[in-house]
Amino acid sequence: MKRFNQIFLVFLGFCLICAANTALGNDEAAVKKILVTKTNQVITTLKRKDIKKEEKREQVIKIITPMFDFKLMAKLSLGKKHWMELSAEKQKEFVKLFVRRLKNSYINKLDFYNGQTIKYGTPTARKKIILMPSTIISKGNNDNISMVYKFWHSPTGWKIYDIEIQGISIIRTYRSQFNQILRHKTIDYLLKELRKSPGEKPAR
Amino acid sequence: MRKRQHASIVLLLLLGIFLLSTSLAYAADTNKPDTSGFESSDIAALEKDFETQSSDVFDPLSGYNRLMTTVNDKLYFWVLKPVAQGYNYVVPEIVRSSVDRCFTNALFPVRFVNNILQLKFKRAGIEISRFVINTTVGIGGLADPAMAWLDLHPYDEDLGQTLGYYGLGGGFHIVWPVFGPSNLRDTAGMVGDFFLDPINYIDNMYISTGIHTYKRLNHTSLHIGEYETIKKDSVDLYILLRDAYEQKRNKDIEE
Repeated sequence: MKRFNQIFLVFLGFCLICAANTALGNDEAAVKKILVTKTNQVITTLKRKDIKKEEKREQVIKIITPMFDFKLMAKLSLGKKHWMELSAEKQKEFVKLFVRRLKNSYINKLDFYNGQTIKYGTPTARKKIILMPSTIISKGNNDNISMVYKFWHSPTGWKIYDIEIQGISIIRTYRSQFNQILRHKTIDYLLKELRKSPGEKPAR
Repeated sequence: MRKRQHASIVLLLLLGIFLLSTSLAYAADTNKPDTSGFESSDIAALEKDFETQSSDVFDPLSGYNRLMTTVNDKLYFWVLKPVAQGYNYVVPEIVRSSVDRCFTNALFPVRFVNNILQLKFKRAGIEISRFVINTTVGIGGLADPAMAWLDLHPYDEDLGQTLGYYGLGGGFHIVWPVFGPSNLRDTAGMVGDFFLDPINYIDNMYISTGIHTYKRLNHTSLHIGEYETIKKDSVDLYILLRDAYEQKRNKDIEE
Protein backbone atom coordinates (compact mmCIF):
# COMPACT_ATOMS: atom_id res chain seq x y z
CA MET A 1 0.00 0.00 0.00
CA LYS A 2 2.81 2.34 0.96
CA ARG A 3 4.57 1.58 -2.28
CA PHE A 4 1.40 2.29 -4.22
CA ASN A 5 1.16 5.66 -2.48
CA GLN A 6 4.70 6.50 -3.45
CA ILE A 7 4.09 5.64 -7.07
CA PHE A 8 0.92 7.67 -7.01
CA LEU A 9 2.76 10.67 -5.59
CA VAL A 10 5.46 10.46 -8.23
CA PHE A 11 2.78 10.19 -10.89
CA LEU A 12 0.96 13.21 -9.46
CA GLY A 13 4.17 15.20 -9.43
CA PHE A 14 4.83 14.25 -13.01
CA CYS A 15 1.34 15.35 -14.01
CA LEU A 16 1.83 18.69 -12.28
CA ILE A 17 5.12 19.34 -14.07
CA CYS A 18 3.51 18.49 -17.39
CA ALA A 19 0.59 20.79 -16.68
CA ALA A 20 2.95 23.62 -15.73
CA ASN A 21 4.93 23.04 -18.88
CA THR A 22 1.97 23.16 -21.21
CA ALA A 23 0.63 26.19 -19.36
CA LEU A 24 3.89 28.01 -20.03
CA GLY A 25 4.01 26.88 -23.63
CA ASN A 26 0.41 27.99 -24.07
CA ASP A 27 1.24 31.58 -23.23
CA GLU A 28 3.94 31.72 -25.86
CA ALA A 29 1.72 30.06 -28.42
CA ALA A 30 -1.05 32.52 -27.57
CA VAL A 31 1.24 35.51 -28.06
CA LYS A 32 2.42 34.18 -31.40
CA LYS A 33 -1.16 33.56 -32.44
CA ILE A 34 -2.16 37.14 -31.56
CA LEU A 35 0.65 38.59 -33.65
CA VAL A 36 0.16 36.27 -36.62
CA THR A 37 -3.60 36.79 -36.72
CA LYS A 38 -3.37 40.57 -36.44
CA THR A 39 -0.55 40.85 -38.97
CA ASN A 40 -2.47 38.72 -41.46
CA GLN A 41 -5.52 40.92 -40.99
CA VAL A 42 -3.41 44.03 -41.59
CA ILE A 43 -1.84 42.57 -44.75
CA THR A 44 -5.22 41.49 -46.09
CA THR A 45 -6.51 45.01 -45.53
CA LEU A 46 -3.49 46.55 -47.23
CA LYS A 47 -3.94 44.30 -50.25
CA ARG A 48 -7.60 45.22 -50.74
CA LYS A 49 -8.22 47.18 -53.88
CA ASP A 50 -11.86 48.11 -53.27
CA ILE A 51 -11.23 50.69 -50.55
CA LYS A 52 -9.33 53.97 -50.47
CA LYS A 53 -6.05 54.59 -48.67
CA GLU A 54 -7.66 56.63 -45.90
CA GLU A 55 -10.18 53.90 -45.21
CA LYS A 56 -7.44 51.28 -45.14
CA ARG A 57 -5.58 53.30 -42.53
CA GLU A 58 -8.64 53.55 -40.32
CA GLN A 59 -9.28 49.83 -40.56
CA VAL A 60 -5.67 48.96 -39.79
CA ILE A 61 -5.75 51.14 -36.68
CA LYS A 62 -8.92 49.36 -35.57
CA ILE A 63 -7.24 45.99 -36.05
CA ILE A 64 -4.04 46.73 -34.17
CA THR A 65 -5.30 48.91 -31.30
CA PRO A 66 -6.39 46.02 -29.03
CA MET A 67 -2.95 44.44 -29.40
CA PHE A 68 -1.10 47.39 -27.79
CA ASP A 69 -0.95 48.68 -24.22
CA PHE A 70 -0.74 52.30 -25.36
CA LYS A 71 -1.07 53.83 -21.92
CA LEU A 72 1.81 51.80 -20.56
CA MET A 73 3.88 52.75 -23.59
CA ALA A 74 3.24 56.40 -22.81
CA LYS A 75 4.22 55.93 -19.17
CA LEU A 76 7.38 54.03 -19.97
CA SER A 77 8.42 56.58 -22.58
CA LEU A 78 8.18 59.41 -20.10
CA GLY A 79 9.62 57.42 -17.23
CA LYS A 80 8.43 57.13 -13.66
CA LYS A 81 10.16 60.28 -12.41
CA HIS A 82 8.60 62.64 -14.96
CA TRP A 83 5.24 60.87 -14.97
CA MET A 84 4.77 61.29 -11.21
CA GLU A 85 5.45 65.02 -11.44
CA LEU A 86 2.51 65.62 -13.78
CA SER A 87 -0.98 66.63 -12.76
CA ALA A 88 -3.87 64.38 -13.78
CA GLU A 89 -4.86 66.60 -16.71
CA LYS A 90 -1.34 66.76 -18.03
CA GLN A 91 -0.97 63.01 -17.72
CA LYS A 92 -4.16 62.59 -19.70
CA GLU A 93 -3.09 65.02 -22.37
CA PHE A 94 0.35 63.47 -22.63
CA VAL A 95 -1.11 59.99 -23.10
CA LYS A 96 -3.56 61.30 -25.70
CA LEU A 97 -0.87 63.10 -27.71
CA PHE A 98 1.65 60.30 -27.42
CA VAL A 99 -0.80 57.61 -28.51
CA ARG A 100 -1.84 59.72 -31.48
CA ARG A 101 1.82 60.06 -32.42
CA LEU A 102 2.48 56.33 -32.10
CA LYS A 103 -0.55 55.44 -34.22
CA ASN A 104 0.39 57.94 -36.90
CA SER A 105 3.93 56.70 -36.93
CA TYR A 106 2.70 53.11 -37.37
CA ILE A 107 0.31 54.14 -40.13
CA ASN A 108 3.00 56.06 -42.01
CA LYS A 109 5.22 52.98 -42.10
CA LEU A 110 2.51 51.10 -43.97
CA ASP A 111 3.31 53.10 -47.09
CA PHE A 112 6.46 51.03 -47.40
CA TYR A 113 4.46 47.84 -47.83
CA ASN A 114 4.87 46.42 -51.30
CA GLY A 115 4.41 42.70 -50.95
CA GLN A 116 6.98 41.84 -48.28
CA THR A 117 6.37 38.64 -46.37
CA ILE A 118 6.73 38.05 -42.64
CA LYS A 119 8.71 35.23 -41.10
CA TYR A 120 7.90 34.51 -37.45
CA GLY A 121 10.51 33.33 -34.99
CA THR A 122 10.04 31.40 -31.78
CA PRO A 123 8.72 33.39 -28.84
CA THR A 124 10.84 33.34 -25.69
CA ALA A 125 9.56 34.01 -22.18
CA ARG A 126 11.65 36.16 -19.88
CA LYS A 127 10.37 36.82 -16.39
CA LYS A 128 6.86 38.15 -17.01
CA ILE A 129 7.33 39.16 -20.60
CA ILE A 130 7.40 37.33 -23.89
CA LEU A 131 9.65 38.42 -26.74
CA MET A 132 8.21 37.62 -30.13
CA PRO A 133 10.78 37.97 -32.95
CA SER A 134 9.83 38.26 -36.59
CA THR A 135 11.51 39.29 -39.82
CA ILE A 136 10.12 41.34 -42.66
CA ILE A 137 11.42 39.66 -45.80
CA SER A 138 11.78 42.03 -48.72
CA LYS A 139 11.11 40.89 -52.26
CA GLY A 140 14.77 40.74 -53.24
CA ASN A 141 15.60 39.22 -49.84
CA ASN A 142 18.41 41.74 -49.39
CA ASP A 143 16.77 44.35 -47.19
CA ASN A 144 15.27 42.24 -44.47
CA ILE A 145 14.20 43.97 -41.27
CA SER A 146 14.30 42.19 -37.94
CA MET A 147 11.62 43.06 -35.41
CA VAL A 148 11.00 42.03 -31.82
CA TYR A 149 7.55 42.55 -30.34
CA LYS A 150 7.64 42.73 -26.55
CA PHE A 151 4.48 41.50 -24.85
CA TRP A 152 3.62 41.71 -21.18
CA HIS A 153 0.83 40.06 -19.24
CA SER A 154 -1.48 43.01 -18.65
CA PRO A 155 -4.64 42.63 -16.57
CA THR A 156 -6.53 42.39 -19.86
CA GLY A 157 -4.30 39.81 -21.51
CA TRP A 158 -1.05 39.81 -23.44
CA LYS A 159 -0.27 43.25 -24.87
CA ILE A 160 2.63 44.82 -26.72
CA TYR A 161 4.51 47.47 -24.75
CA ASP A 162 7.52 47.97 -27.02
CA ILE A 163 8.81 47.08 -30.48
CA GLU A 164 12.44 46.74 -31.44
CA ILE A 165 13.22 47.42 -35.08
CA GLN A 166 16.73 46.28 -36.08
CA GLY A 167 17.64 46.36 -32.42
CA ILE A 168 16.27 49.87 -31.89
CA SER A 169 13.64 50.08 -29.18
CA ILE A 170 10.88 52.56 -29.90
CA ILE A 171 10.27 53.26 -26.23
CA ARG A 172 13.95 53.78 -25.56
CA THR A 173 14.34 56.33 -28.36
CA TYR A 174 11.34 58.27 -27.04
CA ARG A 175 12.68 58.06 -23.50
CA SER A 176 16.00 59.60 -24.43
CA GLN A 177 14.30 62.34 -26.42
CA PHE A 178 11.84 63.20 -23.64
CA ASN A 179 14.60 63.05 -21.03
CA GLN A 180 16.73 65.41 -23.07
CA ILE A 181 13.88 67.88 -23.55
CA LEU A 182 12.76 67.78 -19.91
CA ARG A 183 16.31 68.35 -18.69
CA HIS A 184 16.24 71.89 -20.00
CA LYS A 185 12.58 72.65 -20.63
CA THR A 186 9.19 72.23 -18.96
CA ILE A 187 6.51 69.67 -19.59
CA ASP A 188 4.39 72.39 -21.20
CA TYR A 189 7.05 72.82 -23.86
CA LEU A 190 7.06 69.06 -24.49
CA LEU A 191 3.27 68.97 -24.76
CA LYS A 192 3.40 71.88 -27.18
CA GLU A 193 5.93 70.03 -29.32
CA LEU A 194 3.77 66.90 -29.27
CA ARG A 195 0.65 68.90 -30.11
CA LYS A 196 2.15 70.27 -33.28
CA SER A 197 3.23 66.74 -34.09
CA PRO A 198 4.02 66.68 -37.79
CA GLY A 199 3.22 62.98 -37.71
CA GLU A 200 -0.49 63.75 -37.72
CA LYS A 201 -0.41 64.69 -41.36
CA PRO A 202 -0.74 61.74 -43.72
CA ALA A 203 2.62 60.62 -45.10
CA ARG A 204 3.72 62.30 -48.34
CA MET B 1 -46.21 51.23 11.74
CA ARG B 2 -45.38 54.90 11.34
CA LYS B 3 -42.19 54.50 13.26
CA ARG B 4 -41.16 51.78 10.91
CA GLN B 5 -41.76 53.97 7.84
CA HIS B 6 -39.64 56.68 9.40
CA ALA B 7 -36.87 54.24 9.96
CA SER B 8 -36.90 53.05 6.37
CA ILE B 9 -36.85 56.62 5.00
CA VAL B 10 -33.91 57.48 7.22
CA LEU B 11 -32.20 54.33 6.07
CA LEU B 12 -32.82 55.22 2.43
CA LEU B 13 -31.47 58.71 2.99
CA LEU B 14 -28.39 57.37 4.67
CA LEU B 15 -27.86 54.98 1.80
CA GLY B 16 -28.24 57.80 -0.69
CA ILE B 17 -25.76 59.99 1.13
CA PHE B 18 -23.35 57.11 1.34
CA LEU B 19 -23.59 56.37 -2.39
CA LEU B 20 -23.26 60.04 -3.29
CA SER B 21 -20.22 60.51 -1.11
CA THR B 22 -18.47 57.46 -2.51
CA SER B 23 -19.17 58.52 -6.06
CA LEU B 24 -17.90 62.02 -5.26
CA ALA B 25 -14.84 60.53 -3.69
CA TYR B 26 -14.39 58.46 -6.82
CA ALA B 27 -14.75 61.51 -9.05
CA ALA B 28 -12.20 63.35 -6.94
CA ASP B 29 -9.98 60.33 -7.20
CA THR B 30 -9.95 60.37 -11.01
CA ASN B 31 -8.71 63.92 -10.88
CA LYS B 32 -5.71 62.95 -8.85
CA PRO B 33 -2.56 62.15 -10.82
CA ASP B 34 -2.55 58.59 -11.97
CA THR B 35 0.28 56.92 -10.13
CA SER B 36 -1.04 53.47 -10.86
CA GLY B 37 1.22 51.05 -12.55
CA PHE B 38 4.54 52.24 -11.34
CA GLU B 39 3.91 50.77 -7.86
CA SER B 40 3.22 47.43 -9.41
CA SER B 41 6.40 45.42 -9.33
CA ASP B 42 5.68 44.10 -12.83
CA ILE B 43 5.82 47.51 -14.44
CA ALA B 44 8.75 48.60 -12.32
CA ALA B 45 10.59 45.59 -13.71
CA LEU B 46 9.62 46.56 -17.24
CA GLU B 47 10.94 50.06 -16.67
CA LYS B 48 14.23 48.80 -15.29
CA ASP B 49 14.84 47.24 -18.67
CA PHE B 50 14.90 50.68 -20.25
CA GLU B 51 16.94 52.35 -17.55
CA THR B 52 20.06 50.26 -18.02
CA GLN B 53 21.13 51.87 -21.25
CA SER B 54 19.47 55.25 -21.36
CA SER B 55 21.37 56.86 -18.53
CA ASP B 56 22.95 60.24 -19.03
CA VAL B 57 25.04 60.17 -22.15
CA PHE B 58 28.44 61.84 -22.22
CA ASP B 59 28.13 64.05 -25.28
CA PRO B 60 30.83 66.74 -25.31
CA LEU B 61 30.37 67.48 -29.02
CA SER B 62 26.60 67.91 -28.84
CA GLY B 63 26.71 71.49 -30.16
CA TYR B 64 28.81 70.56 -33.18
CA ASN B 65 26.87 67.31 -33.64
CA ARG B 66 23.55 69.13 -33.78
CA LEU B 67 24.94 71.51 -36.35
CA MET B 68 26.28 68.62 -38.46
CA THR B 69 22.92 66.84 -38.20
CA THR B 70 21.32 69.92 -39.75
CA VAL B 71 24.03 70.12 -42.43
CA ASN B 72 23.53 66.45 -43.35
CA ASP B 73 19.77 66.97 -43.35
CA LYS B 74 20.10 69.82 -45.88
CA LEU B 75 22.61 67.82 -47.89
CA TYR B 76 20.06 65.03 -48.15
CA PHE B 77 17.05 67.16 -49.08
CA TRP B 78 18.85 69.63 -51.36
CA VAL B 79 21.39 67.41 -53.11
CA LEU B 80 21.27 63.68 -52.51
CA LYS B 81 17.52 63.14 -52.68
CA PRO B 82 16.79 65.16 -55.85
CA VAL B 83 19.71 63.56 -57.68
CA ALA B 84 18.69 60.09 -56.49
CA GLN B 85 15.11 60.74 -57.62
CA GLY B 86 16.31 61.70 -61.09
CA TYR B 87 18.49 58.61 -61.15
CA ASN B 88 15.49 56.51 -60.01
CA TYR B 89 13.50 57.85 -62.91
CA VAL B 90 16.10 56.78 -65.47
CA VAL B 91 17.38 53.50 -64.03
CA PRO B 92 14.98 50.64 -63.23
CA GLU B 93 14.96 49.24 -59.71
CA ILE B 94 16.29 45.82 -60.71
CA VAL B 95 19.48 47.43 -62.03
CA ARG B 96 19.88 49.61 -58.96
CA SER B 97 19.50 46.73 -56.51
CA SER B 98 21.94 44.63 -58.57
CA VAL B 99 24.50 47.42 -58.41
CA ASP B 100 23.92 47.69 -54.68
CA ARG B 101 24.55 43.96 -54.27
CA CYS B 102 27.71 44.25 -56.35
CA PHE B 103 29.12 46.93 -54.03
CA THR B 104 28.17 44.84 -51.00
CA ASN B 105 29.97 41.86 -52.51
CA ALA B 106 33.11 43.96 -53.02
CA LEU B 107 33.20 44.69 -49.28
CA PHE B 108 33.85 40.99 -48.65
CA PRO B 109 37.38 41.63 -47.26
CA VAL B 110 35.96 43.84 -44.49
CA ARG B 111 33.46 41.20 -43.41
CA PHE B 112 35.91 38.31 -43.74
CA VAL B 113 38.76 39.88 -41.81
CA ASN B 114 36.53 41.13 -39.01
CA ASN B 115 34.81 37.76 -38.63
CA ILE B 116 38.28 36.20 -38.31
CA LEU B 117 39.38 38.87 -35.81
CA GLN B 118 36.33 38.00 -33.72
CA LEU B 119 37.19 34.30 -34.00
CA LYS B 120 33.92 33.64 -35.81
CA PHE B 121 35.49 31.10 -38.16
CA LYS B 122 32.32 29.41 -39.33
CA ARG B 123 30.86 32.75 -40.36
CA ALA B 124 34.13 33.69 -42.07
CA GLY B 125 33.87 30.41 -44.00
CA ILE B 126 30.31 31.24 -45.06
CA GLU B 127 31.52 34.66 -46.20
CA ILE B 128 34.17 32.97 -48.38
CA SER B 129 31.56 30.67 -49.94
CA ARG B 130 29.27 33.61 -50.54
CA PHE B 131 32.04 35.63 -52.18
CA VAL B 132 33.17 32.77 -54.45
CA ILE B 133 29.66 31.80 -55.52
CA ASN B 134 28.36 35.34 -55.98
CA THR B 135 31.44 36.59 -57.81
CA THR B 136 31.35 33.70 -60.31
CA VAL B 137 27.77 32.45 -60.66
CA GLY B 138 26.36 35.77 -59.51
CA ILE B 139 28.44 37.68 -62.09
CA GLY B 140 30.59 39.87 -59.88
CA GLY B 141 27.96 40.00 -57.18
CA LEU B 142 25.21 41.49 -59.32
CA ALA B 143 23.02 38.60 -58.20
CA ASP B 144 23.01 36.77 -54.88
CA PRO B 145 22.61 33.06 -55.73
CA ALA B 146 24.32 32.08 -52.45
CA MET B 147 21.36 33.46 -50.55
CA ALA B 148 18.66 32.65 -53.09
CA TRP B 149 19.63 29.01 -53.66
CA LEU B 150 21.78 28.00 -50.72
CA ASP B 151 20.30 30.21 -48.00
CA LEU B 152 23.75 31.53 -47.04
CA HIS B 153 23.24 34.85 -45.31
CA PRO B 154 25.95 37.50 -45.03
CA TYR B 155 27.51 38.21 -41.65
CA ASP B 156 28.11 41.90 -41.58
CA GLU B 157 31.06 42.80 -39.40
CA ASP B 158 33.33 45.83 -39.37
CA LEU B 159 36.28 46.98 -37.30
CA GLY B 160 34.09 49.09 -35.02
CA GLN B 161 32.16 45.94 -34.14
CA THR B 162 35.39 44.00 -33.65
CA LEU B 163 36.68 46.63 -31.20
CA GLY B 164 33.30 46.50 -29.43
CA TYR B 165 33.48 42.70 -29.34
CA TYR B 166 36.70 42.98 -27.34
CA GLY B 167 35.01 45.28 -24.86
CA LEU B 168 35.85 48.74 -26.15
CA GLY B 169 33.02 51.16 -25.42
CA GLY B 170 31.70 53.50 -28.08
CA GLY B 171 33.13 56.67 -26.59
CA PHE B 172 31.34 59.91 -27.28
CA HIS B 173 29.10 60.44 -30.28
CA ILE B 174 30.42 62.17 -33.42
CA VAL B 175 28.36 63.20 -36.44
CA TRP B 176 30.51 63.33 -39.58
CA PRO B 177 29.60 65.45 -42.55
CA VAL B 178 28.27 63.23 -45.37
CA PHE B 179 28.92 59.98 -43.43
CA GLY B 180 26.48 60.76 -40.63
CA PRO B 181 26.30 59.43 -37.05
CA SER B 182 29.29 57.63 -35.59
CA ASN B 183 31.27 57.50 -32.35
CA LEU B 184 34.89 57.48 -31.32
CA ARG B 185 35.30 53.71 -31.59
CA ASP B 186 33.49 53.38 -34.91
CA THR B 187 35.46 56.28 -36.39
CA ALA B 188 38.68 54.44 -35.61
CA GLY B 189 37.06 51.36 -37.12
CA MET B 190 36.15 53.25 -40.28
CA VAL B 191 39.77 54.29 -40.73
CA GLY B 192 40.94 50.69 -40.38
CA ASP B 193 38.28 49.33 -42.70
CA PHE B 194 39.33 51.91 -45.30
CA PHE B 195 42.31 49.68 -46.06
CA LEU B 196 40.06 46.66 -46.63
CA ASP B 197 37.82 48.35 -49.18
CA PRO B 198 39.01 47.47 -52.71
CA ILE B 199 37.68 50.78 -54.07
CA ASN B 200 40.40 52.60 -52.12
CA TYR B 201 43.09 50.68 -53.98
CA ILE B 202 42.26 52.39 -57.24
CA ASP B 203 45.28 54.58 -57.97
CA ASN B 204 43.37 57.63 -59.13
CA MET B 205 41.80 59.39 -56.16
CA TYR B 206 39.21 61.16 -58.33
CA ILE B 207 37.98 57.86 -59.68
CA SER B 208 37.80 56.16 -56.28
CA THR B 209 35.96 59.16 -54.78
CA GLY B 210 33.66 59.11 -57.79
CA ILE B 211 32.87 55.45 -57.25
CA HIS B 212 32.20 56.05 -53.55
CA THR B 213 29.83 58.88 -54.46
CA TYR B 214 28.00 56.76 -57.02
CA LYS B 215 27.74 53.90 -54.53
CA ARG B 216 26.14 56.24 -52.01
CA LEU B 217 23.78 57.68 -54.60
CA ASN B 218 22.71 54.24 -55.78
CA HIS B 219 22.13 53.08 -52.21
CA THR B 220 20.12 56.20 -51.38
CA SER B 221 17.96 55.71 -54.46
CA LEU B 222 16.76 52.41 -52.97
CA HIS B 223 15.90 53.94 -49.62
CA ILE B 224 14.16 57.21 -50.40
CA GLY B 225 11.47 57.94 -47.84
CA GLU B 226 13.07 56.15 -44.90
CA TYR B 227 14.95 59.11 -43.50
CA GLU B 228 11.84 61.22 -44.00
CA THR B 229 9.72 58.93 -41.79
CA ILE B 230 12.39 58.86 -39.11
CA LYS B 231 12.51 62.64 -39.17
CA LYS B 232 8.73 62.81 -38.99
CA ASP B 233 8.72 60.54 -35.92
CA SER B 234 11.23 62.64 -34.05
CA VAL B 235 10.61 65.11 -31.26
CA ASP B 236 14.33 65.91 -31.12
CA LEU B 237 15.92 64.66 -34.36
CA TYR B 238 19.53 64.68 -33.18
CA ILE B 239 18.77 62.71 -30.01
CA LEU B 240 16.67 60.20 -31.95
CA LEU B 241 19.43 59.62 -34.52
CA ARG B 242 22.12 59.40 -31.84
CA ASP B 243 20.16 56.98 -29.71
CA ALA B 244 19.08 54.82 -32.65
CA TYR B 245 22.68 54.66 -33.90
CA GLU B 246 24.12 53.58 -30.55
CA GLN B 247 21.35 51.02 -29.96
CA LYS B 248 21.83 49.54 -33.43
CA ARG B 249 25.59 49.29 -32.98
CA ASN B 250 25.23 47.62 -29.57
CA LYS B 251 22.90 45.08 -31.11
CA ASP B 252 25.28 44.46 -34.03
CA ILE B 253 28.19 43.91 -31.64
CA GLU B 254 26.12 41.47 -29.58
CA GLU B 255 25.39 39.28 -32.61
